[in-house]
Amino acid sequence: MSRWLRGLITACLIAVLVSGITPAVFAAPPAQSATGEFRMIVGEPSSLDPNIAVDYSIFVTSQLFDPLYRMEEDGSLTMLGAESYEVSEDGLTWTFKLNPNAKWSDGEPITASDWVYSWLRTLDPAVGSGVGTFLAAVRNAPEYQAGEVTDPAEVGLRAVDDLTFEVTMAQPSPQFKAVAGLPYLTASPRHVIEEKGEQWTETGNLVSSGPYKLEAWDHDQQIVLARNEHYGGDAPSIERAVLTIATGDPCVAQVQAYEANEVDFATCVPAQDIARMRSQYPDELTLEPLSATIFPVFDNSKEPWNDVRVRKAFSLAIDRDAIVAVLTDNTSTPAYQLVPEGIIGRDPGHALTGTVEDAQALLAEAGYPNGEGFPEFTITTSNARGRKDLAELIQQMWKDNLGVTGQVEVMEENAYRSWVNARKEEPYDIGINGWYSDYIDPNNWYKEVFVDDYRNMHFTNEEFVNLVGEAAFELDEAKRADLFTQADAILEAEAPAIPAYYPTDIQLRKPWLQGLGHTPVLGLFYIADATITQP
Amino acid sequence: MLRYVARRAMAIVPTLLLVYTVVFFIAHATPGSPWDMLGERPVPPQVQENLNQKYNLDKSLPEQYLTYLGNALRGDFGPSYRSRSQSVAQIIREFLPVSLQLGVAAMVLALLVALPLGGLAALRRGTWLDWTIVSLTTLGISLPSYVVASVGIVVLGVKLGWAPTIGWDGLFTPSSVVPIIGLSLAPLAALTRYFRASMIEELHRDYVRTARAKGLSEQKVVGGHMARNALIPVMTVAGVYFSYVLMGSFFVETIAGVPGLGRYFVISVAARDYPVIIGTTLLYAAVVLVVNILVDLSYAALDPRIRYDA
Repeated sequence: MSRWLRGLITACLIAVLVSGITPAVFAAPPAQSATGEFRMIVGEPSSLDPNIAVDYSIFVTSQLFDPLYRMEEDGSLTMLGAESYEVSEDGLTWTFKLNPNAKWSDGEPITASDWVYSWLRTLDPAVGSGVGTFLAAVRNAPEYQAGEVTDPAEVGLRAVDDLTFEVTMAQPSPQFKAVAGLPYLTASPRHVIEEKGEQWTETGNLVSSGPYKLEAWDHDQQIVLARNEHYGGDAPSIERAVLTIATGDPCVAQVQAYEANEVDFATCVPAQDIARMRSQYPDELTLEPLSATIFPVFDNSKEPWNDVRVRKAFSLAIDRDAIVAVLTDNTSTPAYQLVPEGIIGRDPGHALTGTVEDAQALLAEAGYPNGEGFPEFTITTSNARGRKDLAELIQQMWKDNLGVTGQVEVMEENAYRSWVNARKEEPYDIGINGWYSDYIDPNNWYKEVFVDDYRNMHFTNEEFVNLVGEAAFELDEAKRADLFTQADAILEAEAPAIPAYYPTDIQLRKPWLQGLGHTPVLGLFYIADATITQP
Repeated sequence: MLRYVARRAMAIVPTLLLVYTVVFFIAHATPGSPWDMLGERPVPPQVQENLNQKYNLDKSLPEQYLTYLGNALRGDFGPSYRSRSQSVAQIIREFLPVSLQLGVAAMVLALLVALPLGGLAALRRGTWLDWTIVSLTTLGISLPSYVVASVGIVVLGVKLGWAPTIGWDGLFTPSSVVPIIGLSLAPLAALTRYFRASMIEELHRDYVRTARAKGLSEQKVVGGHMARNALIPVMTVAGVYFSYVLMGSFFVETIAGVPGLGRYFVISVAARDYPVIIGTTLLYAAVVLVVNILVDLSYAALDPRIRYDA
């Protein structure tokens, strides 16, 4: 026995040594980085090419690359790549005077031809970027993207001189003011891309235009950003940022690392941890509004959903307070309108009002008293971000309040996206969907979501389409707002989708981190704006 | 012996071809395309077409099947769709070593603990010690690796602050503690039980009685004779577990933030990253096949009666 025990203990000790688990290696976690660097967790970017990356990669690319300007929450502009801009009286020509101090992180000057080159890249069919659709209003841009126009000189993007970048529109496009500040529409370094090809975003190759440069991108491990000493704007206070890459649920990883003091900032909190984190970090947890709405959509072209009374009944029969309580622990706001706050045209007076009794009456009017004879339907949803729970909640509410029976069909996230895209032609009943503003302008909602039908809800209303079409080219701001407001009234009265809630970003910031903001559009933050107080 | 190895090695080729065929068609049959991930806005048809063209997805499936096969035979497993600046070969080169280190460390730990524990339980069977070991191993087998890893992170990382909650700084750092424990627990528990059962079987063999009768020391009887024989069935199980900890560690790798190859299975499937799905699956299949051959060869080393000379 003793020999065996001795053997066992020896074996265990060896095992411990082999795995490097010697107690001497353990060290208490530092409360804050000793070197004053900023630490957070991000997902592995699909690309660091600002003209290609459209997913959460923009959390990283927006630290590295500057657009022409940033549109703030109040609609004011913070000039970055551009110094000033001018629009011709007919609204067709936008002239951007570029910042003469702007330099690439390798010291080369940033010129108007860099801007022309990179915006053309977003349209170049060979590059295969999803960003080009934002430039749809630019003269010949859609044609160039479709390969119908092959000469880039025919596209309305021109370098007048080194510091003058001119954009010509096909039609007057007031929304372009918001579009031109998008984080994807930055300049990208032609001299590097032409030399290195697709490898240009790798460590050692990437040259940036923003306050930070890329020190290292160790795929699926970490990204290190360092101050760009050639930056044309104000030098950031934080010198270095270490972004650790998580591949699992980024919210779970961030909360764990935040609790262990390994990061200074967490961009989200998983639903199951909201209550605990709220009580544990009451001063560090913030609810950050997003310009977005989560809405189940109907196939408006198909029976019984082509009857507005049915759509209204379904919208009135759900309890939005219960939805935000169950899904988000009351961190989000119930939505009674499709378009979120802050978008011109939205008028709270247009909201659909009524009780469950009204809903029942509407359904009876449509020919289905107490839900009798109502066909069985399917609610299709992805399994991500609580969408499945939302589907099940409203399924139950409709059953209880209207006496109608729906089945929930759950899909993996990517399969669901593909399903939504295929609904262009295929019929369906209800899908759980939503929209997050790409830029703060009514065009992004009324036109792109509801007229261009990015969510395939097949909503058709001639008057609505005409109003939105007219508003799109209207240069007079007051007239434009009025046209969108009229369109908003029709939209809410027609109820092509069911507003459910306005989502919120739940974030955590350590007390020593100050000034790190959050934009309602895309939930962006700028490390360059932040400071870290040394103890 | 060499002929045996050569014959087994040749059998790898048709197996891999079969794996490739199955994976290729399953991957392409999964709903969704790699370009659905391009963001929330619909991708213009022309862009999709060009992307398809660029990555050969515009060809018919049989044509893609043959093209990819031809490239793979030349060692070109294609680019990653999800991470455009990386190729599958780069991904494997960069992340396989991490998975190998982690897998070998977990397996070494499992064997070093399992064999003494299993042997001890067998020799002291029926006692409280045996009972404790068996209960603990039952627990170890029942706990999924992702639970162990998650609890490990909460306890060691969040509560005690002994190990980081995420990331990998190398094998001999605190960052490897949680993944190694998470990975080794299941094989450790299983091997303990197998070795215990196998040792108990050997206890009553005639040769054991003979050895004792000859007056051999207990150490020689147990260590020299019984353990060696009892190891044969355990090696088979160890081989299976070895391939599991080498590549099948995606839960642990994902949860603990280890940049290994295992989690690429999951990531690439979610992203419909066909070349990475195919490349990593083929690699995994190759690892399993090679480990199987090694296990068979180890029998010969353990048991003089097993010889592979035709």
